[in-house]
Amino acid sequence: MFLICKDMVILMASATAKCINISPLGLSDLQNQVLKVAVNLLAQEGIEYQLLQDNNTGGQLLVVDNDTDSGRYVLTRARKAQIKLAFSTQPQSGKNLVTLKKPVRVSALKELLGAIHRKINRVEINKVQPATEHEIPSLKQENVPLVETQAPTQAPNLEPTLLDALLEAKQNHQSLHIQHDKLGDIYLNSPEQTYASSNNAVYIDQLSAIPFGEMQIRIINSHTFNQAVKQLEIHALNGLLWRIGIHCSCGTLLVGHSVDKLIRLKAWPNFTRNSFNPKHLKIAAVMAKKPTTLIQLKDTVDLPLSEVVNFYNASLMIDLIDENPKETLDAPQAEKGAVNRGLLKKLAERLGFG
Amino acid sequence: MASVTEINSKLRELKSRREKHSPQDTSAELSIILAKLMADCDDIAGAMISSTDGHAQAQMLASELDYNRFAAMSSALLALSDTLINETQQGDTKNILLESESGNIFILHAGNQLLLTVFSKPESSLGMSLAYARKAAEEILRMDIELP
Amino acid sequence: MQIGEEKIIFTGPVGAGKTTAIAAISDKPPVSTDVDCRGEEKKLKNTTTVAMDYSYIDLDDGPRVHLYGTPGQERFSFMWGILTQGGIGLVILINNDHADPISQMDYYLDAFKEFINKTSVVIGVTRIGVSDQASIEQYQQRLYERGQVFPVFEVDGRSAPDVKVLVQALLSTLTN
Repeated sequence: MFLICKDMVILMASATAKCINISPLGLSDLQNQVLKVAVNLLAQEGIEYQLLQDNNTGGQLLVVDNDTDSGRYVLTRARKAQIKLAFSTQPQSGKNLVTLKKPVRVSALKELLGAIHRKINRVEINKVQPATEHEIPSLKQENVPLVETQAPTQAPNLEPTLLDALLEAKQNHQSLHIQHDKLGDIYLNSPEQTYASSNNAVYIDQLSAIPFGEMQIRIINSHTFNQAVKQLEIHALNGLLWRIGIHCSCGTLLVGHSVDKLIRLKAWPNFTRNSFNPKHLKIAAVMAKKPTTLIQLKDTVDLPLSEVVNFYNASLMIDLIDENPKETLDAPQAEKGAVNRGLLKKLAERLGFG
Repeated sequence: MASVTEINSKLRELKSRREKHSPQDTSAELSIILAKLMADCDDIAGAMISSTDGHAQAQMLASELDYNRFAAMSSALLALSDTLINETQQGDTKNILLESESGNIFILHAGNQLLLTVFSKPESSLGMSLAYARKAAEEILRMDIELP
Repeated sequence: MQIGEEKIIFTGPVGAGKTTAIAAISDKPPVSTDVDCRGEEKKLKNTTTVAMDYSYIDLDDGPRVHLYGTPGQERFSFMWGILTQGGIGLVILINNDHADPISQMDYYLDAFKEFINKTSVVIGVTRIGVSDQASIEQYQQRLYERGQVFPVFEVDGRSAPDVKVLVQALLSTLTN
């Protein structure tokens, strides 16, 4: 809606204020009700929020209870760009973090949400080009360039998975015992970089079918590990981590990682000794060449994002990702123009890969 | 039973045969063959004896030439030549002739493990150089050298 | 070489398995110019390539990919320039059972630097199961230190699947 005055066109901020998505995560029933009421009251004033359902973590605003394990976990895993509203008994500090003291009341929450809404939208409005006085914008608003804020290209994952647990254990040099009726016992020794399984052949596809929450995971020490694996075959841990990354990621990025961040492969996976498919060669070739984001990568290799994510996760699990890439690293460059692609494609097919 | 004298004589003979085929002696003997070759044939400007795996054993070449490199190249050429002849015909290379404006080069086998490379002067008689080179190669063959 | 044909060159130190690797994937047994080794080298191998190995892969509809193996010793390095002329890429095979195999990799990456800069390279490490002189991670680390992220895989030179994956990685770097 535009208010057209004699010589000026004023853009009404509220008319172009965007609806903001809220991700309420792990709140109590009462907290959810309070939130709902506050949102409805704001809607009557023209301040639009939408509450996402089913633990959808994609909202611009996350609302959590900082006094619960899950709430604290979510806060540590959220993207920096997301605004976090934490209900807490103690004030918290952090980037883009706002605390609301418990017990949470509708009025206080409503006021805070209103302020947050204005703040987010003010950032967006600053990106809009106001019409000049010589332009009379049509009611269709076509002439008004409205810059969309970038919606996340993939909802950041805040739900920990088996991969997150494994990666964390590896980074903390912890040994783990994973147990489930369907897959027996798996013992991982991070310091020694080995693993053993009571199955002797760990069925990786079964792993992905078992909800992470159903697995028993405990941290063990090296003595316990050695006792447990006495009768078992020991294997190199990276082989397992790679396979889990490829087969159990199901397109979900490891928590705390982003499809929009520049990364690079710092070494090729040892493909002759780890399971792979021909698409991985393609992904690796591009990822090794120069820094790229996963989104750019998926477009360059023309593969689904899930494939790229699976590869990224697996590579990260075995320390092959450079998260702060320098531009200057060399990698084999495709011959500038002179490659006989047709012939090379035929050779690839002949060697048994598509 | 052989007498002590006979045994000692045999031992001396064996010892001298072993000494004769010590690397230094082998090299010296090969050098003598090369010297003789160049003395006998004016057309020959230089020569080298090397092993089939590319090591120089004896040489009489102009000083600025890198004989180690030549030894490797000669062995590569001869090996390729043998391979080609084996694939297309029968037997081994009799000789390789490289003709250039500054002269000719022959490469030929000299026994199982050695080869002879001969540089002849420009405008020299090919036939003559080759004949002498063959003769030298046969002498080397008769030495029956077993490289370590 | 006719128009539309290409060649891939295999190089690396003596005993790394170049001839074997070419034989594993080519249509015909390779022509080779092997001679008996003498002296110190005999400890490494009985025979050695003095000029080259050669074989090929004939693709459907005709084009041929030539496979050349270079001699390993430095004294035959004059063959390296000859054999890489017009090639599309290099496969370096390193024998992990050598003293200081990582320096060997350095040596060949440096020796073929110009060719690699114009084309591409992959590295295959043989005899890793036999010897623990170095691990794949150490090769990866050295490549990273050199600022060169090339594929380096563990291979058994006799294994056609292994050699095919190596060559396929080379092709990937050329077409992506």
